[in-house]
Amino acid sequence: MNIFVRLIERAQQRGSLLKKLFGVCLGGIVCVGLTLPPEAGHLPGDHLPLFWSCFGLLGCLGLAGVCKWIAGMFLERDTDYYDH
Amino acid sequence: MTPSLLLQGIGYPVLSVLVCLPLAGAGLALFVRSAPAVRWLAVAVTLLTLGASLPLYSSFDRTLPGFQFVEHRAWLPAAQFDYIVGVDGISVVLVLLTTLLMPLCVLCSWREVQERVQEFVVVLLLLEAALIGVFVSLNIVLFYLFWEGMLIPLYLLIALWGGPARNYASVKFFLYTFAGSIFLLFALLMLYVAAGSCSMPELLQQPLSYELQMLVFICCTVAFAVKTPLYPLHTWLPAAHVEAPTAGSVILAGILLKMGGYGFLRFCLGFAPAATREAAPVMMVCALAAILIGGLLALGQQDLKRLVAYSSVAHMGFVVLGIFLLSSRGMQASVLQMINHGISTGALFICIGMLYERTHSRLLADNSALGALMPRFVTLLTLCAFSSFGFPGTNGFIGEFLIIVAAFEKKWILGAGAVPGVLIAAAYMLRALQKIIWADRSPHHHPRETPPRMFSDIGLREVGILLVLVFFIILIGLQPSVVLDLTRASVESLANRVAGAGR
Amino acid sequence: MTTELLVSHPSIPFVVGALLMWFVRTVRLRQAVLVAVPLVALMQLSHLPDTAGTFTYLGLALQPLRVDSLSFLFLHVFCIMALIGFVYSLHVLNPGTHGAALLYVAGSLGVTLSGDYVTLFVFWELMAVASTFLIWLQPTRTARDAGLRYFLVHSAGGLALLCGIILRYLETGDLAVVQVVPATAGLADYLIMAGFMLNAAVPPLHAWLADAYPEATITGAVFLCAFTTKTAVYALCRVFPGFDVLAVWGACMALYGVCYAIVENNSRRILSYHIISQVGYMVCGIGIGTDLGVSGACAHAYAHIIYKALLFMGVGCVLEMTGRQKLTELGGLYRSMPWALVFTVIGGISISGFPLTSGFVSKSMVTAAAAEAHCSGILLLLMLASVGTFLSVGIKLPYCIWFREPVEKAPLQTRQAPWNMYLAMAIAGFFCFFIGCSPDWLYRLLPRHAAYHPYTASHVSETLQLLGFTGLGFYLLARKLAPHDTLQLDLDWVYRRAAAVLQHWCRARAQQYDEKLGELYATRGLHHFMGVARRCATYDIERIDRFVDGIAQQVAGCGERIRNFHNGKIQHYIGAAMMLLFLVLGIIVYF
Repeated sequence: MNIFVRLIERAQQRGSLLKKLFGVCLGGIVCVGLTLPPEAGHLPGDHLPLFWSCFGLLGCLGLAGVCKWIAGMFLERDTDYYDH
Repeated sequence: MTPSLLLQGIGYPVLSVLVCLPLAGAGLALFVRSAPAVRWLAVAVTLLTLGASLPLYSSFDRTLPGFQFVEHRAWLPAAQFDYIVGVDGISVVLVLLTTLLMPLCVLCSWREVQERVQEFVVVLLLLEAALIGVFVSLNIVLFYLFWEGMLIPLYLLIALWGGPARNYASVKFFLYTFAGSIFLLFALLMLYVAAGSCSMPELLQQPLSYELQMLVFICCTVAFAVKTPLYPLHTWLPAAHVEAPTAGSVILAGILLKMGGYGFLRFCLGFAPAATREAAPVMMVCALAAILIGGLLALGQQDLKRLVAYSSVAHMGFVVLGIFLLSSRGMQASVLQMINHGISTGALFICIGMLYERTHSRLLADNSALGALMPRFVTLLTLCAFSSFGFPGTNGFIGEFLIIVAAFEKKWILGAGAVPGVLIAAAYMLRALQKIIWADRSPHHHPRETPPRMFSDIGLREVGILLVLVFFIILIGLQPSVVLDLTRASVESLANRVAGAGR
Repeated sequence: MTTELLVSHPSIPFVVGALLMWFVRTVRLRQAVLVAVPLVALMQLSHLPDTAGTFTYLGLALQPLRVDSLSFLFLHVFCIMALIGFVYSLHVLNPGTHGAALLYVAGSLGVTLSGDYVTLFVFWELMAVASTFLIWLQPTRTARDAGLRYFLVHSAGGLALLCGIILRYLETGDLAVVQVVPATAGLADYLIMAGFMLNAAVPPLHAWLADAYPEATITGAVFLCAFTTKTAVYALCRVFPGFDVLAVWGACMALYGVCYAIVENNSRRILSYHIISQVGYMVCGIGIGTDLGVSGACAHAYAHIIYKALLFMGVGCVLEMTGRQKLTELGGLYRSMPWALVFTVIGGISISGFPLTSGFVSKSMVTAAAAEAHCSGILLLLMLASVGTFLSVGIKLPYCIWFREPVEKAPLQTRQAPWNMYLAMAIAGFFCFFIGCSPDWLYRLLPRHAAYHPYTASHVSETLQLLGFTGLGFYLLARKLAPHDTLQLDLDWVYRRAAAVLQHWCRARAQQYDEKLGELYATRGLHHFMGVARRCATYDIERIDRFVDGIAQQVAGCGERIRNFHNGKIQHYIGAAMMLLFLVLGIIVYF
């Protein structure tokens, strides 16, 4: 128990180091992705290098944005909505 | 004697014994003054009647469609008033249901009825005799005699030992039923005039003209539709059920309503088959209306007895639907459903009676959070409620399932119309169960300021009564052939009769 | 044959266990029973016969035990899941919860083993009732109401299934549970499919899941998440593989669940929507119908049961220790419950499909099947759902519960969670990695042979790219994705509003109408009847009575006058007598 807590607290103290580590990981993923030959295209644009990285990033931003917007516009209600 | 009748050698005239035993018991009760003694006498007489009816089950020939255990004595030949009694597959199960439920009625009224116990026992035993008499009579005059004979004891039962609005309920019950009986009398008179005989087996042999059949059908339908009760002639039932004492409610729901179904099968289908075929669509529509509207009315109830009363309307709607599908499967299913309804609704009324003895209220709001206080009761109540809405494994499921299958066979829209009734039944039963078992812990609910309740859970007598009924719920649910075997031959011959009747 | 059935059917130990819960009073003994029962079932699995014959009941041919590779896979994972679930709930003292869970698993195993529709239906209903009690045993009003809705929805689904079974029996006379060819499917088959789809929580029949699962007991939810939906997936897999409509629907379902999960606040509700999403993958694979698709669906079901249970267990741990499940009320818990964090993160990366976890080897089979079948649209939806899954449950859920600073400044009151919860989570976590690291162990069990190798360099690279940049996206959007304490309307709005209206109408209008109908006899009938009676009485008194009284009075008057004749004078008597004699003689002569 204590190992994890200490690890996490140490990581939280070194926030910038974490970000750099994350950046390095992403960079490594990008490099590997560029060097490997892409698989046969199943989606349009599949053959482009780093397609899946863009898909991940844009998909995440798009999905989160659209869902939040729809929920905010149409779906959100008070928690005791059904009690009336 | 015609070949359709069969006298079996049991050794004693079992049906006469079944009718006379309660009568004798009622007579004997007139001399017993002390309340405990007369209660034990009632138990003894009803158990004796039950014992005397067991040979009906064991010695019944399941392959013969005709009447069995027949006794024939000429009383007034000039007035065509013979004493003929007998049972076929349809009536034997109803007689057995009656003899089963009566001892339970006596036992469940042990603590509930404290005033005029002697009169109560007399009325109850007279009622039993009349009920058995209705199911076993094979002479239409005798039938009418017993039919009317059951009115007064039941009126007294509601009027003397009932709830606050008992006068209103008993008078309403009496007026409705009596008005229907007038129509029945008219129909019976017409039958006699046209066929010249009062004996049911002989009437069944004689074909009647179509116009006469239609007239007989309409009159009989009015009478039996009031009894069943079929929508829209059902409105006497909630009042009567709510105000009657527990024994009265059990008899009303368990046995009396079956007289309507029995009447449809014996009179409308038996004596007027061609007219029945013509009028069947109308009756099926009324039945579907009863199923759906009865269910919807039950959904809005706060009074437990009214809820079960409206559920009875819905269940008997299933029975009438099964009868007027005019197929062998549908009719067998409806007879089975009659037995099931008698057992499960009788059990529910007994449970409500037990609740009322403790909480003195029938409202759902006053009977909540009992799960922790009365675990045995709540378990048995749950089983009975599951049987009522037809959960698989219980008897109710088999009956409703077979009726829905028969309805789908006839026309898929009939089946589709009946299925929501099952769902509505689940909804109101579960809602009631949920409120009874668990407390309503929410910020919006303010429980009444009452001192903490200490109820005793149900004791040996009450557990015993419910266990008997639960036993049958599970037995019929897993092995419905115990009932279906008895009814098969008679129902098939009736179905053939209706199918073959010319216009 | 019956003894063979009783000995070999894995549901029997569970039913016996449920009965024992009723009778056994000591806690230790109950706990021993809870652990022993799934172990007994696992032992039975190694000796299962292919079939235990057919029975006849009510003229129908029933086959309660039928095993092949498809059902064996599901039986396997159900028994393992039962063991994990019971270890997780060892600390619960209420025997009712244990009894309900045991019956629930028994029902699920019974459905998986049934060879005919009647047995299937019986066990289907058993599952519905037992699972309802897992919700009802939570002592809050919202749980009671949710449980009632849950049962009614499942009853409706069961009725649809029953109608389909009846129609199928009437049309074909056959009750065996066999595959239906899409070209020959009729109304009966679609009704049966609808019944299965409701249990699988396929939209629009899905709202019950997100409504009921967050309200269940902590240990009950762990069972609920595993059995109802996956049993339905098994049923769909058995009967309806290759239906194109399922492929499209499944893909939409995968995205639908994820979209709701992104905006939800209640942690168990988020996980419930993820069930819908992941079952979407399975339904999609079944719909594609190729060997790879069906195998992928089965593998995904296997893996999903375990990692979803792990997620529910982790979040349940938080609920047990803090009493809260809303993200807005939680935060900064890494200090007090780091192990729950670890296990939830394991579950999170499994569901997202990180390499070396079970999700990677199973979910990718379904996407590969979609790619192989050249369904670009479906593939797009599935990959987008993967993005959303990682975003929502891989990153957002652990972040909000464990890392983010809590909204309230006061530290949360936490209790210590019992050791058995951690043990259960450890077992599930082990399986997540074990399946991920040696996928052949799972692939061996799959019903159809499909050559698939998940660990190719390009596949690993693709997955890491996808997930890594999703993480980047979260980092950029972290503030926008903060949870709000709101309710999100779903399709249950339709029937909840309808039910409220119906309830109000039944209570108010229907009752009034019926009362008016009931009083017709008094207002119309009796009223007129009494009027006629009064008129008759009046006629009786005024006319008839008076007439009769009048005659009586006249007669009395006559008598009075005749009396006055007697004046004592004999000549008057003789005169009267003579006149009478002449009158009589005259009449005789005349006639």
